[in-house]
Order: sequence, then structure tokens, then C-alpha cells
Amino acid sequence: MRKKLFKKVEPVLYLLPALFFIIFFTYYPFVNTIIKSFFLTNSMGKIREFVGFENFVRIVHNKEFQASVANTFKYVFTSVPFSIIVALVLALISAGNKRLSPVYETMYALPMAMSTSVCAMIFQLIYNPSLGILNAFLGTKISWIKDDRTALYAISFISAWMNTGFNFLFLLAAVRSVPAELIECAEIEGAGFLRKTQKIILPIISPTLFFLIVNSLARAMMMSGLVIILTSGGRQSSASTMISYMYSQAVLAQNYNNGYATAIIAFLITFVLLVISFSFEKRTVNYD
Amino acid sequence: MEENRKMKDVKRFQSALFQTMAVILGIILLIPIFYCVFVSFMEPEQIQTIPPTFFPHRWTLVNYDTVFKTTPIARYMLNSLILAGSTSVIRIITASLAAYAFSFFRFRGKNILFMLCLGTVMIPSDIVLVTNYQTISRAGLINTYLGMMSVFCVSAMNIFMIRQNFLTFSKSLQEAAYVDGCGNFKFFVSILLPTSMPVLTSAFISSFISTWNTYLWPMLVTNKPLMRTVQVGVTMLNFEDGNVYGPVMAASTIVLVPTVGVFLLFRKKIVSGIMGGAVKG
Repeated sequence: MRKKLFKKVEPVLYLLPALFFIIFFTYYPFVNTIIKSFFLTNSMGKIREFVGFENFVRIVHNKEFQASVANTFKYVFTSVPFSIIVALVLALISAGNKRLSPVYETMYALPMAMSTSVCAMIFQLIYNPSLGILNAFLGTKISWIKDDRTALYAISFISAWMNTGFNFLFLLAAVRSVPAELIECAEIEGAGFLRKTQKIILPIISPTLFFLIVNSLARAMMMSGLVIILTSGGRQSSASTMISYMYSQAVLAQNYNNGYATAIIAFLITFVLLVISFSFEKRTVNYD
Repeated sequence: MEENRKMKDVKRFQSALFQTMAVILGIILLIPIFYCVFVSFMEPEQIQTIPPTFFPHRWTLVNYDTVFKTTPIARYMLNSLILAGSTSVIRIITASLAAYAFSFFRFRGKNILFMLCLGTVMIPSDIVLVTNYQTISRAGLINTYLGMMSVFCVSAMNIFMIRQNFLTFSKSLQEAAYVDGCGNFKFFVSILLPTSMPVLTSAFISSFISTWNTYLWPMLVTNKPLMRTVQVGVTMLNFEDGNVYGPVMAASTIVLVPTVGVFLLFRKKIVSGIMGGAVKG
């Protein structure tokens, strides 16, 4: 009898450690954030009274929040295409297996081993108006990060650079999986490099491209680390993102009302964006 | 004959040229890293010269000396090592146990529980950051390793990856072990895990790199300087005189060397780990 009972619960016992952490640090805080976004909370984060959608209404009319949403989209629509296109070009270059392949493949993939904070520190120096090499190279004297006109794009570039390695690895594997006969066939028929890429390689690697776009979109929507480090906690509203705004509201200003509402809106926007990209998938991605 | 050889020579030359260009492109791509390393070896006066220079005129260790003498960077490294090392071990344990349940057993609610695990991928950790911070602070775990580790202890991607690997394990071997009087848990520990070492190591390495590199969460749950990780510490270094970039680049180099080194050593393993977890997911 006891043996039978043990047999029944045994698999659940193996699951317990993972479930404990999943429930405690993902589902519980998620539900908790949703619930609390409908309440007023004090500076300790304790619930005071139910206010319905008031937190959301207030935050949607907040200028800084609006700026952070617009900025997040600018980050997404600059860094995601840039890093995927660069990675694709690098993958096409490395498609053939040559003697030096391991060398340049490793170089192209290496940015993925870099951390947010180290990249932030390096680019802070590169972007420095007087001591940085970027201005020396361009012959300009722009304060890339402090200047409100360039801050967002300067930071977006760092994030694109950091993501090329990851995207490259996936695209390289995809490009190499294109059957050699197909490419030879196209070459015999006189197709140039661009035509070959457009007509044969792109359709075949479209599932990987789609995966990378969705994955980068989701990550770029949550962009925050670089902004928090480079603009002292995301206080520079020309560069702030939804998550850096959430951080500055909840952690720095202890305004949890705004923090929770921002988190939920950021989640919803990201979710809708992903749903939209999945609806594009059926029309453009080729799984044959 | 002669023509043929000429063609071959031209082809070989083209290929060599192409490969050289590809390597040069790689060097251009990695300029930020080279720049960081070069500046870290420059003399302070050279860093201050305008226009700035790329290569050190005279190589010096003075910036490294400043970092080790005036900042607790060794302690930061230790903190990061403890955080990344122990969370990666815990992740492997939680993930392989869960993967074992999902691949070798039948039980009620299995599919729902599996979806529950994979569903965590849809909830970005940044969204639940504030609430997790409150949980940890209410539990009195601010400035503790436990507090820093807590949110990283399970990874749905690892569960999925290891499960895919376990599913390829032959069921007859399990039955044979069972007939020999080997219990389920003993089978798991002494047969299944040792034979799955390749997937376990790639899961370990990729989770080590990702936790070593994480910034936001360790920054949130620590405020004592001595509990900071390298990633947090490197952004908060303060030096007495205005010339901070030399020591900051030295510290950055110290921080990036472990992950870049691990990446160079285990590139194949990391790639197969990431692809195995993500492509099929």
C-alpha cells in the first residue's frame, strides 16, 4: 500500500524543487503585480485601497512614461533590424568552410560573451566627447550620451553590437543547412550573389530569421541595463525605456503605484507585439 | 594542364584574400574589446592626451595596480564566482530532476505541469523584478548570497534541453537496470546523469556565463559594497583623481576575461547548448 502511494507521488517529488522556484519567483510575483496594479500602495508596497484602473490612467497621461514607451519602440526598431542584418551578412560571409573559418567565426560570435555593464563602461569611453576614439575618428565633438538628440541611438548601437554574436550563430547554422546542390544549380543558371541570397537562401532560413526577430523583439522591449548604467538610473528622459522607467519609479522614487502599472503595460505591449509578429509568420515564413 | 594549374592558383589566392578580409572584418567588429584592453595597459598621461590614441606607447600595469590597491575587486570576483557557480549547480539539479520526471514517468497533470514550466518563458524577469525585490527584502535576504541566487535557481530552457536529451535515452536500459534491482532514484544518479554529462556541461557553461554577466538583479538586492558582484562593482568604481578611465578599463578587462576565456575554450559546447535549447523551443 505504501509502496503504491510512493510510486504515485514519486515523479512529483522530482518536480518539486523546480516548481517551487517557478511558482515563487515567476507566477506568484506576476499575479501579485497584476493585482497590486489595481490598488494604491504605500511606500513599503503594502496594499491600501482599491482604485480600479486609476493607476493606469494616471501613468498613461504621464509625459515621462509616454516618452519611455516611444523610446522603447525606437530602441526596438533600430537595434533589432541592425543587429540581425549585420549578423546575416556575417553569416553569409562565413557560410563556406575554410581554413580560417574557426578564427573569424569565433570573432563574429564573441560579443555574446560580453556583459551589459562592461559594454556600458567601454562605450562610455568610446563615446566620450574629448577622450573617446569615436569623436577622434569622425572629427566631431559630440557628447553622444549626454546629448538628448543622440543618446538613444548611441545606446541602441551598443545593444545591437552585443546581440550580433548570438544572432550570427543561429544564422550561420541556418545558412549552412541550405543544400549545396540548390546553390550550385542557381550558380549554373547564372544567378548573382544577391539573387541567390534573395531567392534561395532567405526562404530556406526564414524560420530561423523569424525566431531571431521574435526573440530580439522580446528582449529589446525589456531593454534597461544599459540605460540605467549610462544615464544614472534612467533619469534622462530622452533615453529612458519602459523598464528603466519602472525601475526609477519603483526603486529610486519608491512609487510602487507607478511601478506596477508600468510593468503590466510593458508586459501587455510586448505581448501584443509578439502576437502581431506571429500573425506575419504565416504569410512570410516558409517551413517546407 | 598548365591552364588548369593557373586556375587553381587564382582560386587559392582568391580564397586566401577572402579569408584575410573576413578576419579583418572580425577585428573591426571587436574594436571595442581591443580598445578596452589597450587602454587598460596605457599610462595615465597617454589616456588623457587629445586626440586619443589606440595603441599603448609604453605598456604598463599601473592601472591594474590601482584597481587592486584601491577597490575590493578581488572580493567582487569572489562574489560573482559564488553567485554564478552555485546558481549554475542548483539550476542543473532542479532542471535535471524535473526533466527526469517529464521524460521517464507518467502521471496525472504531467502536460499541464510541463506547460507551466515552459510558460515562464513568456514572463520576462524584468516584469516581476519589483515584486521579487520586495519578497527578498521582506525575507531579510538583502545583501546575502541566497537573495542574489534565489531568482536564478531554475531555468525553463535548461529543463527543456535536458528533457530532450533524456528522451533519447533507451528505455530498455532503464528496464534492465530496474530488473537488476536498481531503484528509480539510483538509476537517475548512477546511470542517467553520468551518461548525460555532455548536455549537463553545456547547460552549466551557458548558465554560468549568463549569471556571471547579469547586472540588474544583483544590483537591486545588494547595497553593501562588499556584497557587490563584479558587474555591479565595475559601474560604481570611484577613484580619487579625475583620471578614471585607465583603472575602469583595467577592471573591465578583469571582468570580461573569465567569460571570454570560457567562451573561447568551450565555444562548441556553448553553441550546441544554446541551439539545443532554443531552436526546438
